[in-house]
Amino acid sequence: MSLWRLEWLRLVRTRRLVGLVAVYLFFGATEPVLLRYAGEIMGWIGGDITVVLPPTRPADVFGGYTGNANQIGLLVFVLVAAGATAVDAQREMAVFLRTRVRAPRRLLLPKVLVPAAAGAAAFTVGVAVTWWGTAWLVGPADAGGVLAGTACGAAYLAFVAALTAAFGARLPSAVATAAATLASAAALGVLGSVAGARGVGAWLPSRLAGALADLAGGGDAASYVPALLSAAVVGAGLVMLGARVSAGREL
Amino acid sequence: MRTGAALVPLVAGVVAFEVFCLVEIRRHEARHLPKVVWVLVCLASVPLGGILYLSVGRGERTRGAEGEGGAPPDGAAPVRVPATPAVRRPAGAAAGAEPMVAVTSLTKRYGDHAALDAVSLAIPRGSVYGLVGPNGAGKTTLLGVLAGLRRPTSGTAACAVEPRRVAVLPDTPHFEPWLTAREVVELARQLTDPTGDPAATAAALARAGLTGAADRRTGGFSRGMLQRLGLAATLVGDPELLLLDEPCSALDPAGRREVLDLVASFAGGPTVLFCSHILDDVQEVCDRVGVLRDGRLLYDGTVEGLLVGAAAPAYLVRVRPPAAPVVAALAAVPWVEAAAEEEDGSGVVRVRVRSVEDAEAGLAAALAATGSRVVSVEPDRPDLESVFLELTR
Repeated sequence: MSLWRLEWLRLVRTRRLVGLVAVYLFFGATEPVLLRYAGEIMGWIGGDITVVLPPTRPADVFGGYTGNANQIGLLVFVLVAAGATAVDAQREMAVFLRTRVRAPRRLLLPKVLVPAAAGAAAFTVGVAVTWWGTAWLVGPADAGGVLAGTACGAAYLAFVAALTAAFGARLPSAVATAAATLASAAALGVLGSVAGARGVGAWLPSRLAGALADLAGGGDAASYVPALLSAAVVGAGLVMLGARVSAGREL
Repeated sequence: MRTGAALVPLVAGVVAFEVFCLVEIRRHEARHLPKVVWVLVCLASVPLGGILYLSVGRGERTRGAEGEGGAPPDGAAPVRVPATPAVRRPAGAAAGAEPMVAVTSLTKRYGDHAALDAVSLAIPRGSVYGLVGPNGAGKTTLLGVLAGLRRPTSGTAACAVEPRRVAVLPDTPHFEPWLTAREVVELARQLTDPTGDPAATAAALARAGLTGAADRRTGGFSRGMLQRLGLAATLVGDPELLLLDEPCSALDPAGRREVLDLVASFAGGPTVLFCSHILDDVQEVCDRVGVLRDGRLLYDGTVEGLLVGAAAPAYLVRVRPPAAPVVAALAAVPWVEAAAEEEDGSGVVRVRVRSVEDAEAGLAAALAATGSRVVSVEPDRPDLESVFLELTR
């Protein structure tokens, strides 16, 4: 029984992993159908009104999936990650762990990396189902773009997990940690949309959130390298900050 | 043009937030990074830097030059520290080899409140040290400091073993409800003694009486079972120093007896710091005791030293009623300092004497002279509870 297994059991026995995968799976399964038959569905709902939509492209499906993944999916993921990284939310368990693990980094790493890996896996499962549905109902997607976009999406979730670690080390509960993380992620997103894709905007980790939609439509994968680099550096910094904050916090 | 106008309130809000963050940095102590770095973080990453600072970087509000443990600034009212009473220590009590725990002038403040006030004590290796005191006396704070979970405001608290050899049992142990008892103890073993014998897990569970519940999830455990599980997790790493906070508080009489027997069996083994409200437990298993009140250590020494030092010699004399003539006759004896009948009308007279020698030589004769029918005579031995109440009154 190690700290890594403890976090794995947290995901499995509390059914958080099932919930996480189910959310991404749902959007991955429904998005190709909804977009492929959007015209028919709107026509059916609208009665006599005839709706004419442009033909659905594979990039549209991935765009729809990305949108949902960045809203409901991210919300669920942040709740799962905050449940693990809010180390001191339950004082007695915190005493148990902190009196036995003297290096906070050793305690925090599994709490960040295991949920991050679970989030990345759930996101990837959703992408795989979207890809399959798109190929079946809409048409083939650019494989290189989809794979690169999936990697960017997974990296963004890892960055968000690091963000929860920084907040979780200071805030008193998982809910407060999740709220602060979501607010920060939203603020980063707003900043990204204001800054655009050039200059400072190119370096914002939040750019990675929408990478799948862009790259599946033929976007330039190299343009996401700065955001990947900053996500890695800032994410590592956030985990170290979280460990330091946790070490300084009294129980 | 329209888009630009719509952005004005957004930009104004962000600017206002940044100004607020900069003012907060000026007004508060900075945590983890110097203030100047936090200013750069706020300015370089708008508004994430500010959110990060407010969440993790903002410390206590600055009050002049006064800091934790520092001197008050000129003109500021100093924090009033009540005079610390002298700690009662029986002669020769602190003698011996290097102590397992050495606490020197330990003070822990929360704002103006001193949870611990210049506490000094030494716990010898292999002893079972009872720490008693009313609620809010500072017992848990002292344990927290020794466990490394709280920082002292001033003074030192040192353990003579490396931190992984120190095990802590909180007063209300609680574990992830989806873990089994075996997994909790195994996790404790892996974290404290990963190269040790894996069979230690089963042994610790057996020692705590949880073998039958080893594979049950802790979510269904009673408080008493959680207490036992906490004890098993505490014991499994073969620690050299055990910090037990109210280990019997949630146990039924049988469980309490088992825990007391377990602690008593440590004699000569690991050093134990045993916090408890239950004075009978402390009297039974501890060879040394410390009495805390309002963060101050009132006594530090052996249990016997506390009991002997606290009490003037006295005897309980039971006579057939009426007891009033006996009280009057004994009160007239020169070496009797006080004689009074117990209020319950049972015919018991409490006789406080100048010395044991006087009483042993003359009490029987004095009673015979009263002509009363004497049922029994016995020394009035003080218990820890009465001494404790006397000390903490």
